[in-house]
Amino acid sequence: MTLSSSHPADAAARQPRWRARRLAVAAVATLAAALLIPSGVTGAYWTTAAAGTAVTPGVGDWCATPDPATNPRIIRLSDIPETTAADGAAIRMAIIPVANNAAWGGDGTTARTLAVKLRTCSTTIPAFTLRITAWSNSTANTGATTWATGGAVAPTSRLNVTAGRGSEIQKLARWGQSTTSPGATVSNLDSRRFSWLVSGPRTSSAPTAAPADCHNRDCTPNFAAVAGASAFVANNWTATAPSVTYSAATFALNNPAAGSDWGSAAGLNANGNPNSNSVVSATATTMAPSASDATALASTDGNLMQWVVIQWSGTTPPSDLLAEIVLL
Amino acid sequence: MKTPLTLALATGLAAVLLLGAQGSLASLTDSAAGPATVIQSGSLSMAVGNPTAAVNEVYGTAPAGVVVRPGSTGIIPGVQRQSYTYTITNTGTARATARLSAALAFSSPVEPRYSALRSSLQVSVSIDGQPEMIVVAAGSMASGAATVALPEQALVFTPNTQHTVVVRFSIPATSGTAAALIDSRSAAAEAVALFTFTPTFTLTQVPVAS
Repeated sequence: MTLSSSHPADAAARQPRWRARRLAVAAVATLAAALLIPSGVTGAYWTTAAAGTAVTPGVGDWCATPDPATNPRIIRLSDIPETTAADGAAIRMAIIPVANNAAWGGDGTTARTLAVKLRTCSTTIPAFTLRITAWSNSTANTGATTWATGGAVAPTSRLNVTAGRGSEIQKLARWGQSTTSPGATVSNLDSRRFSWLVSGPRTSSAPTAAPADCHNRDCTPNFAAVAGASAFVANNWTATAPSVTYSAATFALNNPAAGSDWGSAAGLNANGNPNSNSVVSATATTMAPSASDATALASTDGNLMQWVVIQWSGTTPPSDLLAEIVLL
Repeated sequence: MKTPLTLALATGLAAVLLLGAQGSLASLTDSAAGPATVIQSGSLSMAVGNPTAAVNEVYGTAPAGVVVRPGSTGIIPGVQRQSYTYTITNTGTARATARLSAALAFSSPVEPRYSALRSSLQVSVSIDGQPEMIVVAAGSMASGAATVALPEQALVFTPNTQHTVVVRFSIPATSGTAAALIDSRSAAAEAVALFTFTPTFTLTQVPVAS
């Protein structure tokens, strides 16, 4: 249909249609108005609001130690089993292989310092003694590597303390020498293998203390055990974090770039000429990245491999006395 | 011919304006779309009482390796929580039944050292002893000031009946949580404030069927 016609009869016929269209336009306009009017105007309900009094939730006080079950770098002292050594002594000792590798959190490029972190939530520390030392491999034959747990340079591994290499290191940690009976003179060869963590003059209030200076390679390892109450920071509910970290230190020179070796005559970290009577200074026991367990276990300079020895004696410590081996 | 159109527009607009406007006291007709409602004279109002606080509400046992400071108030992971009970009364006129919703506002942490703890916080709401609704799950709270909406609840608040709304703050205990947050503890016998919490409650009338 077109609208070109102008005949009067046609116009009359269109009148009803125009009326219908106008009514339709009115309806649409009404609907549009209804849709455009804010709903609040038409909302068929009431609302009311009121603010409650403000409060300030607060945090309380507690102490917590990490769970050794989920972090194998943490050793619960009371979990260290008792073993009878060859001399008949009942000892509580764990020998743990540590290298700067992925298992210990190493990134493959950064040298790290060996350390141990002691934590507890106990408010009182019972009467026991603690000694934590670290020893490098010997340049001599150290015997077979017999594992008590694990079989890699990893936090879950423990060396059998009464067999082969474990027996040797057990004697080192107890007596400072590995081949003879207690009381024998500690050899330079063995003393150069020694790093102290929690022994000798170290306490929680002096965690970086070193044994007295020595001269001309006359450095006797001071591996005397420390009273538990001195080694740990008891929980007194005031410290921000009831823990203390002990970094490993040694008199030995562990700088392969200088051509030295802990087993060599020039292995001590003397100021100036290491073979002179110069004072020997303690240095941090740092560990270079290690990519291979076989290489680490065969190394003798102490840069790739350290055996951390944790030993306690006396009253059994509470279950929340923990030692965590860390690479700083 | 203009009169019918003008009349139709005016009539339609008048009808729209009369549709349930709050101030008009006009009745709704059953021709409106959606549920039919009736507007009647009256009012809706509410009263919110000062909250009662439970500042050392023990709800769990300390996991291995966790020791609670004796007498400590405040939130302790997995062991102790804080609850604030608000009493809300619909003080509107008869038949003005309503449902509750709320806006829960949290200020920024009082101290930066609480930011880690704040992110572990869980906030839940329980109305009239009904099961808790978690409104802020652990790990989802904003680090700065924020407001969380409590959507409109199904429970009907009838006039002049007291209802209780309990807001609980806790830290769910998962392995290592308490040790990981050790540096965020209060290190004091009394709880140390984490932030300021301000709830704004809203009652919305339940439409009355015609």
